[in-house]
Amino acid sequence: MATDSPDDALVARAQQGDAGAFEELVRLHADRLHAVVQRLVNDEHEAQEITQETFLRAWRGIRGFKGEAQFFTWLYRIGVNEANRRLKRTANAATQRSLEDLTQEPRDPAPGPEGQSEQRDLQTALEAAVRDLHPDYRTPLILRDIEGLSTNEAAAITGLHPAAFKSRLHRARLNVREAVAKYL
Amino acid sequence: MRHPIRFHRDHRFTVIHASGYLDGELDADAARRVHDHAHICPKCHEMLDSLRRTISGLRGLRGSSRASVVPDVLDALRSDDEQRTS
Repeated sequence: MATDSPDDALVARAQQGDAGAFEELVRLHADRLHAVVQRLVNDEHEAQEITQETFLRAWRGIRGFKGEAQFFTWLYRIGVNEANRRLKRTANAATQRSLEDLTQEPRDPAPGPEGQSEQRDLQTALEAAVRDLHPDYRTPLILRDIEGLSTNEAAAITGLHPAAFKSRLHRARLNVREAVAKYL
Repeated sequence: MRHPIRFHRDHRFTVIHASGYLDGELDADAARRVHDHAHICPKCHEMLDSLRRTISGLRGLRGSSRASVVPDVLDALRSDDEQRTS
């Protein structure tokens, strides 16, 4: 294993076919993985599907897990890749739809700050700004700033070199900052 | 007052490395360069301050009151196991 983590013993047992040990890993990681995926795809039903699919793939492939990374890094990578794969598929369909949208009335802008607390306004604006980021920039921001993973952990999940990861993260932060500037 | 060319270079450096500075990931010399520049550049001072508040706000988004997905994931795993063994 790369490092001693609380998952290591459970992973070793799961690799021997212990379903109970793998279920314990589900209990430890499923809700947090689901939260990440939900932010990526912005669709609760799809996020649930991706979370289930991720654990099914992980269980089927657990014997191939070499322990070069931490288990959760490997697991999140499966989930994030699947989420991004589905996002690309959706984006292709949306490109077609957006041509039709050009002839329609623009949607109302986000509600103003009237009647809401400043903190709530900021949270709402941040949520919208994160959703509006391109997935290439949204993923680093979610993993690093919302989920609080280290730069190296988050970079490993995205498959990016840490320098490239930092560059995307910085650009994502600047975009979000600009989008929420009036609430800061 | 710094020389304008030096000021301009430090300004660019600060804009590029603002996240690294706030994350504590710059080496000591680089961090001091950002720190010293922000002290004399109101734009960079404001940029660092608003970026810090943005990151702090993003951290506050973590967490959810949604119901746990663990039961559904466990059901899916058990169902898949049953299908594969039957």
